[in-house]
Amino acid sequence: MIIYNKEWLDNLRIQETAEKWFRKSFISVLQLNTVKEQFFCGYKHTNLFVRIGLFLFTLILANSSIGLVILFLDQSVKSFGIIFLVFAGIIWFVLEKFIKEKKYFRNGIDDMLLYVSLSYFISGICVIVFQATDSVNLDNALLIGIIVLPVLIISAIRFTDTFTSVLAYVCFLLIVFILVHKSGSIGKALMPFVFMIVSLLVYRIITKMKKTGRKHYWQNCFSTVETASLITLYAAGNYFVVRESSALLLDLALQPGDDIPFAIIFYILTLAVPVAYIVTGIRNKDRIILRTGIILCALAFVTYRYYYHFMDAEIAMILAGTFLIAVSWFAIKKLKTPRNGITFKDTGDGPSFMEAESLVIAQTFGQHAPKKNDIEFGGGSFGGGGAGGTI
Amino acid sequence: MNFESDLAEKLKATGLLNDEQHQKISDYNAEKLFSLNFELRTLLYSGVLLANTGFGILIYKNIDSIGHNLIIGIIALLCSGCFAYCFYKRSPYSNLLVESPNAFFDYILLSGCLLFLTLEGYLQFQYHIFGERYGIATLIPAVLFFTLAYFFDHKGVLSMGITALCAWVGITVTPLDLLSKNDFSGERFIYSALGTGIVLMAAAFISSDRNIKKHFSFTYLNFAANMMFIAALSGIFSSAFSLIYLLVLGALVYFFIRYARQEKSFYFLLISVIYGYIGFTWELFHLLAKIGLDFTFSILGFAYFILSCMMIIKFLKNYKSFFKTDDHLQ
Repeated sequence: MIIYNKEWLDNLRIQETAEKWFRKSFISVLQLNTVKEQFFCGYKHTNLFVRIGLFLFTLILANSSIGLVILFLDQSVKSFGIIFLVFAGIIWFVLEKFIKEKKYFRNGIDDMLLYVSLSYFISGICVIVFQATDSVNLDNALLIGIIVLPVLIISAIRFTDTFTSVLAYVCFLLIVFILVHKSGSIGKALMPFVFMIVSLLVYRIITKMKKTGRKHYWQNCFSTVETASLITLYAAGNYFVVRESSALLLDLALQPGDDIPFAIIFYILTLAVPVAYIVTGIRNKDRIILRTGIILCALAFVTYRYYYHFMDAEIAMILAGTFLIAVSWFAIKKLKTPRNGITFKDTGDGPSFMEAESLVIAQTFGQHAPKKNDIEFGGGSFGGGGAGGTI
Repeated sequence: MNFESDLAEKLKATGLLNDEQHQKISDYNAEKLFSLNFELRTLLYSGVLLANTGFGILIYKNIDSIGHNLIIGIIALLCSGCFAYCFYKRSPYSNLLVESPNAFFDYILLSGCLLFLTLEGYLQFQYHIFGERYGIATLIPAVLFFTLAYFFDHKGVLSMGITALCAWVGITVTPLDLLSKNDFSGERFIYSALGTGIVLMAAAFISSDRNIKKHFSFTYLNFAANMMFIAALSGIFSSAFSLIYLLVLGALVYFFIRYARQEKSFYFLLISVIYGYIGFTWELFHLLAKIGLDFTFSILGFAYFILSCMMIIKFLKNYKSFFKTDDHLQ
C-alpha cells in the first residue's frame, strides 16, 4: 500500500535516532557515519525553505499547465467534471513516477502534486454530482463525501501525508454529520453527544494504533489526526459551538436570555474538557493532549467572555496575563529540579523554544549526511532533475 | 519508545556500540524526563504580552479619569523596576553571545521595554512633551532599545529597536504637508526604505565581520532584505519608472542570492527567488498588457508561468550543488 521503500523508511528512523544519540554525545561521529552506511536510506532531507519554494512553484506550474490545456479545449465542453478527473489522474501518475523513480521524499514537489491531484479530484466529483442531480443539497454532499473519503484515506496511507489524513478525518465527520442530520429531530438534538462519542472513539483507535511499532511510518499522520480528534471532541461540547449550531440546525430562534437545552452541561464541558486534557497530558506525559489542552483553555475563556461581559477586555487581559506569568513562574521554579520525571530543563527531545524561534533563523545546513554519502549510488536510476536530490 | 532501546540492543549485538555507550543510552531511556521547557516559556511569553497590552489599553481608555501623576508614577516604577532587575542580574558584557542569567531575565527586559513605550506614549498624549516633534519621540526608544539590546544581548529588543528606527526614518522623511497631499510621498518612502535597508545591511556585515554580536547580523539583514525588496516591489507596482526599480530589484536579487550561497542560507535564497519572481512577472505582464489582451496573450502567459516555474524548480532542486561549489574555495 505504502509507496515508499519501507526498508529505507525503517533505516531513516534508525538514522534519526542515531543522530539524536550523537547530539546527546552518546556516540561518536564515526559511529554515526557507520550507522548511516549500514542502514542506508536513499531519501534525502530537503531544507524547509527550499521545500516551501518548491511547494509554491509547483502549485503555479501545475495549475498553469492545466490552464493552458483548458485554453485549447473546445469552448463548448460541458463536462468539466470529467476533465478535472483526468487531470487528477495524470498528476497522480506523475507523482507516483517521481516518487518511485526519482526518489522524491517530502521535497515540496511531491507534497504539492498530491494536493493538486486531490483538489482536482474533489472538484471534479463535485461538478459531476451537482451537474447530474442539478441541485445542491445534503444528499449530494453525502454522496460526494462517500466517494471522496476512500480516496483520501488511500492517499493518506500511500503517501503517509499528514494534511491528507486530517482531510480524511474531516470528510468522515462530514458524513457522520449528514447522516445524523437526516435521522430527524432527535438525532439533531443529540448531535453534540454523537460528535463527542465519535471523536473519542477515533482518538482511542488512533492512540492504540500509534503504539504498535510496525506502523511507525504513519506516526505523524496519527499525531495530527489525534490532535484533530481532541479538538473536535472539545468543539462538540463547547457552549459557543453547540449554541450557535443548534440555533442553525434546530431552527431555534434564541432570544437573549433564552438558553439551549442542557445548557449547564455545555457550560461545564467548555472548561472541564481542556482542564482534563492538561491534567491527562501531564499525568501521561503526552505532549499532544497537553498542548491542545493549553490552547483550548484559552478558547474556553474567550467563549465565556463572549456571553458574559463580566469584565472589560483590558482587565481580562491583565488578569489572564498575570495569571499566566504567575503559573509559569511558579512551575519553572518548581521544575528546576525534576519532579516525577517532569522538568523545565531543555532535554532537546521535543521542539525547544529556541527551535521555534530559529525556524526563521535556520541558517545552516541542519542535519546533513556526511560527505561520504555524496557518492552516487544505484547507477543510472537518477535522471534529469532528480539528480539534484542526491547530495 | 521501546524502539530506541531495541535499536541500542541490536547495535550492541553487532558491536557498533560498546557496553558503556549502551549503558548510557538505556539509562537515558529509563529515566527519560518530560520537558515542559517549550510550553512554560510560551506561556510566560504570552502572559507578558497579554498583561502589557492590557495595561496599555487600560491606561489609554482611562486616560482622563485616573490621576495622571499616579499612573505615570506606577508605570515609571514598574518600568524602572524591570530595568533595574536586569541591570543587577545581568551577565557581564561580551561581544559574543551572552547566556541569560535565568529563565525570566529575557521576559523582564521585554516587559521593561514595552512599559517604556506605554510610558512615553502616555506622556506624549497627556502632556505633549514632544509637541509636534514626532521624530524625537521615535528616536528616543530607538536609541534606548539598541543600547539595551547590545547591553543585555536580546534579539527581541533589537527587533523593537530596528522597528523604532524605521518609524523614525519614515516620520523624518515625510514633511506633514506632503503626507496629506500625497505628492511623491510614495517615492520618498521607497528611497528612505532603500536607504535604511542599506544602513541595516551595513550593520549586519559590520557585526559579523568585526565579530561584535555576530548573532545579531541575521536580525539586521532580515529586516534590511525584506524592507528593500518590498520597496523595490512597490516601486515597480506604482512608479512611472518601474523599469528602473526592476533593475534595483534585480541587483537586490543578485546580491542576496550571492549572499545566500556564501553563507549557505536557504532563507535568503527563498525570499530572493520569491520577491524577484513577483517583480519580474508583474513587469512582464504589465508590458504584455500594453500590447493587448487576446488569445495569444493568454497562451503566452501560461507558457511563461510553465517555463519560468520549471526553471525555478530546477534551480531550487539543485540547491545543494549550488551551495556546494563554494566549499572548495574555502
